[in-house]
Amino acid sequence: MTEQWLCIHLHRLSLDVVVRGLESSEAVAVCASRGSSRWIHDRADGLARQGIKPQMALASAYALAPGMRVYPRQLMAEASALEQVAGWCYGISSRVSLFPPDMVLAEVGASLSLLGPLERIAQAVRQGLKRLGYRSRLAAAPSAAAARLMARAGRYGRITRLQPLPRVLSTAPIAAAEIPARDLESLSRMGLTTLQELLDLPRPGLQRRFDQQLLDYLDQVLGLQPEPLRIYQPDQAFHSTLELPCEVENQEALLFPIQRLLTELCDFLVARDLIMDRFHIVLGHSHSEHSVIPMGLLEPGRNEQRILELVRERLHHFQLAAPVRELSLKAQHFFPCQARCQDLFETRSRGMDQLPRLVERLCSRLGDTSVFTLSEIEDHRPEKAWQPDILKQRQASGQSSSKSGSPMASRPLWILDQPTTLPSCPTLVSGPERIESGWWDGEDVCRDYYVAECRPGEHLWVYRDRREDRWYLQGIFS
Amino acid sequence: MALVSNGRPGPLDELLRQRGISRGYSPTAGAGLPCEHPDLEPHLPRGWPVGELTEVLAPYPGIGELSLLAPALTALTRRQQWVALVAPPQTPHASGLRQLGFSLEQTLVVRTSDAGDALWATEQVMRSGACGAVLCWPGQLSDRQLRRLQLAAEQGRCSGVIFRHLKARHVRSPAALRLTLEPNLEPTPEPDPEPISSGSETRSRRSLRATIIKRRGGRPGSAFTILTCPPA
Repeated sequence: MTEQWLCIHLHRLSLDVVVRGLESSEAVAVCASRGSSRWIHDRADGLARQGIKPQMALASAYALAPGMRVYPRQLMAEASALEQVAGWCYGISSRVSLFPPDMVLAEVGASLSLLGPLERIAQAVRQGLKRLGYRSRLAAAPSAAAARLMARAGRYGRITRLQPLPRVLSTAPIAAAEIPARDLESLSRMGLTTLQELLDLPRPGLQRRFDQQLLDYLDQVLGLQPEPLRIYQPDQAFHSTLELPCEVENQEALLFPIQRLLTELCDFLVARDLIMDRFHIVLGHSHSEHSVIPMGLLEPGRNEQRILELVRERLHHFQLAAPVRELSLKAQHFFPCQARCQDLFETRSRGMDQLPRLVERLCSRLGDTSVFTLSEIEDHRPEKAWQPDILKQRQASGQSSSKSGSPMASRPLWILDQPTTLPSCPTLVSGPERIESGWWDGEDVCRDYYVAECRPGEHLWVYRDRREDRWYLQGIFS
Repeated sequence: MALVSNGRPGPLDELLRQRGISRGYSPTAGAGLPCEHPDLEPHLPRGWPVGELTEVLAPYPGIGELSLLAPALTALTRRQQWVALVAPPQTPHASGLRQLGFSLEQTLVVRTSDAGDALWATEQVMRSGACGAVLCWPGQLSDRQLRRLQLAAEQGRCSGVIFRHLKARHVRSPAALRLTLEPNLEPTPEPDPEPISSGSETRSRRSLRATIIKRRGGRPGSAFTILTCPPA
């Protein structure tokens, strides 16, 4: 099976990242700066028509379009956007690799039989990324390096073979190849401009004059040598941040960016086949501690509309402590998604299927040791005569320890964790039952147990410690 | 019983056929959890309500409230259905439960650290439908929270039992069945003085005064006596 590498070039990433937090993208430009000089890095299409080009100085741009809104480039946001796109691509491919600042590579040859011809996958990618808010251009080639080369050269399309080299690659400029700048300069001084000219040179000559790295790269482009790629590993937790372009004081205005983040979260869940039952909305403020809004769902799910309604409801009643500068969504507690199977006969035994899910849900919020059944232990001392059977462990091991108890006198229903002292001898109803045991582990007891009546109708299990000659309450009958 | 005149159904018949009109206390309508307690059955012929909340109000714990429910609950556990105790005030004792007749394999205990978690856990357990009966000790509950629990019990088709203090009897509640328990201070008719004898299994019968103060589909009743056997 041949490989097919899809190179996704997010060619307007810096602009898309800034526009994500805004309501409209009209007259928006992104500027980069070094020292005191500032220039336009990217601009909206409307501004392009007015004559503003990338690399133009900011002052000249303002002269051409005085009403434009300029935002600084957000490098951190671009990096996390790239990760987010890689996470999305995990839904179409199992081998995804990041090439910052703006490329993601995905191996789709293995997914062709499941997801359809390459055109369909490419269409799905374009639409999926558009939904997330990113524009993209795609190039496909049998080798990863060739796909990247095509994207860098601006030749988006598909090539199916590398031998003989197709025209689209052979006429690609060398500047688009991933060759170190020093070597690039030497090559241009030698008069070489296209890739084909470089490949026509004899190998031994190239080997003498340049590093082995250059020759390896050429072999990788031609598909003769596999390229070691760092494969992207999807995150186990979800954390996405959106920096708002200006401070927001009205909670209604937060809904739009939150919806964007929720779309990402739901895509994250769908790609991993998970559902969640709680997440956190973190609001960052400029001059104070960030505030956290915990959100919980009654039943785990990933329905975007339903969760958005809940968020809307919650925000309505929430008081903003300070103007919000940054918004992020965090989620860590997930469950595998189990489709509901409809039973033809609606019998009561469907409850048996619900128990593991219920235990899972309870344990994830309360802790594994909070849900248990009881079992008896062979010990005469009442406080040691029982143990909790943690349900999760029982499910894992598949067994349960159950002992049929030996006959004994009445035992109370409730037992206190620690026996409490009684001030005086209570009214005794029946007894005594002497328990002397436990010499082997140092906690030996020497007690006479009675049933006492304190308030009318209330039966308590008390004992007199024979060594201390004091009365203790240990249990309550019910 | 139809008021028929001249062979045609009369106006009363039409009215009675409409829904929403209850004809006094119809003891056979609907199914519930059978009480299996000889003193309770005449007063609760349908048994404990299923899919609805029951409130048991007592002045202090340990008066015998769980022994009342035990026959019904143990029957549930023997039928391989689960009974859940959510956030009990003390730890349930395994031997005590077994002596009451519970099958320990089918009794679930959920322990929480604060009231909010306890309420959430109760709602989750009731809604899931995994347990046939859910017992909880919620403490202070607002009307809104009670309604949520009622909805949860309906959705999960389980019998939800809430134990509250007796002083809540004057507060309105959406529970389907409300039962108060008080110790019976009148002397019991059976004169059976029990000396403190060592190792004897004889028991004296104690009695409780129970009153059904609210019942869905029926009228509240007057106080009746329940005789229970206290432990030896």
